[in-house]
Amino acid sequence: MRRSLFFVKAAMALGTFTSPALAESSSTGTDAIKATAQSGTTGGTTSSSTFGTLAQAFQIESTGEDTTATVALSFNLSEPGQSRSLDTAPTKLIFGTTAVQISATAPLGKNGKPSLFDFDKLGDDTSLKFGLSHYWGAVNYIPASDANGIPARTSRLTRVCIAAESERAIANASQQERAKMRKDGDNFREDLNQKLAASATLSPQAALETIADQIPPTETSPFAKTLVLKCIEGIGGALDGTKKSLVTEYGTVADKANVDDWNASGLWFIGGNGKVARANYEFIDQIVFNKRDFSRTNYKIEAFGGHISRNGKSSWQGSLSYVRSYKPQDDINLCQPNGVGAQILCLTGAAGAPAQKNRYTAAIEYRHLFTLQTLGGSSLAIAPRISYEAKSKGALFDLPIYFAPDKSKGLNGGFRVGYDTAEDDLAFGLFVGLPFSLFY
Amino acid sequence: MPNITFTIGGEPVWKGAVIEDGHNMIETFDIPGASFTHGVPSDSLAWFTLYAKGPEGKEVTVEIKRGEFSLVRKRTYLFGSDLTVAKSIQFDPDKPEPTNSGAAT
Repeated sequence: MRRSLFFVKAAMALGTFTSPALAESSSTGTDAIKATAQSGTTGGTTSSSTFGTLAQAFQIESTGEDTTATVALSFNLSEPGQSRSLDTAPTKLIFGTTAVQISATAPLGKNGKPSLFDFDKLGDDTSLKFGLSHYWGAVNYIPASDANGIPARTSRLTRVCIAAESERAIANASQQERAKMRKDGDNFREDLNQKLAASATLSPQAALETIADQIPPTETSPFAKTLVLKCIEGIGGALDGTKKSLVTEYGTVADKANVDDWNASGLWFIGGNGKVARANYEFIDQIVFNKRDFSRTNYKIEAFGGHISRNGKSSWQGSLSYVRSYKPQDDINLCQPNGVGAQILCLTGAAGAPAQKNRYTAAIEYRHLFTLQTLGGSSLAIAPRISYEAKSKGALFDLPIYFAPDKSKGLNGGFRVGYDTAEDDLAFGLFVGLPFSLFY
Repeated sequence: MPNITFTIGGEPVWKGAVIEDGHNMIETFDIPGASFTHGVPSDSLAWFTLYAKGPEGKEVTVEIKRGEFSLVRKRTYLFGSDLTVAKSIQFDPDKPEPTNSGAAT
């Protein structure tokens, strides 16, 4: 058995296109894990903007001496949306969302200009990627006016939040300020009660939001206004700028247990993606003793599906893929007399034209996120994956263990072990830059 | 019946919505691309409930406007560790909130 130790650095360039599962597809076995090390980003700038659900991004990456430009577009295809007649109120509703992503990458600086397309084909070292996904899930519907509905709980927890924040602020204030703050708080509650009394259908939550939306405050003291802003979810600066949820911060155990009552089914998904890439291969033509270029198109097509659990802690995924790629021959050093005395002329390069390789792969993967309360709420995740390649009749076992967080505390690095039965190769090492996600 | 425009932004992977008029459901929606407009009956407060899922730490935004320009509500929610957002927003289809709502950004 061969053993390999490696360090992987991979760049997330385009979200869903570069999940750990896809990173494996461009080469064979544990080589695939090592291959991601070659896609590291060492510099460049990124700019992107989002308009509604049409997202556009333009990105320039530099790796060593190579610079590439990427243009990416994503669309939401759920238009025009489905409306349902609710003459008979259902208790379960099903919603679906469809999305498309397209991106193109081309090298910069070769021949002095970008070259995505030649006249009749993709330019060398350029690629096109596309993806289509459909997510759907069921919702247990509870009317907004219901005592167990979302608004009732939110209103109750908003009041709990205001009371708690009020007491905290008063406790931290000077003796002289406390009396005024208490008076402001009393006036605020009276103002709120008057608003509620004036409308039979106005919810406490909406009444508070109405106050929160009034800037400058007309009838509300700055102190009360601050309290409301801290405790209304969804407003900039809400919950003291942390944007945490009321349930997380002030909910009871029952609130936390019931928070996903609406979530009837978890989330199902199905989709496909593909990549077309043009590559140039240089090799030695041994018959004419000269170097030749050989330009070919590589393909990848993949279909996938899976399910994300109700609590958002785990997902199952399966995929089928076809890959056509070209593998360069090993390098040789070839010499022959050049006709001038005893001098010889030597060429170094691939021994021949690259060999076409077709791969048919089926894979299944499980992803799970653990929250370690004993370590202060730190997270750890695993994503074991088994894939089988029909042509080589080889299986690849891959087990990434995520434990390294990025700046936003999302997991994006850790330790990885892979075993390739066809090559009898066991590989293990560290990786960074591959964010953990339960979504495909 | 005023036309209300609902716009969902941010980075939700999946989303759906229910509109209620007082105590009754009006419609449910697979939320379309950028936004959608729906007539909401006058004379009563209405509810817009958003159900969404997305990556932890990412946001989903809701913007409710009367017609094209009058801002009624704008809210931003963060996907937590359960990847879910389920929020009900009450609004008055006849009366946009004060336009100087700097808090609602």
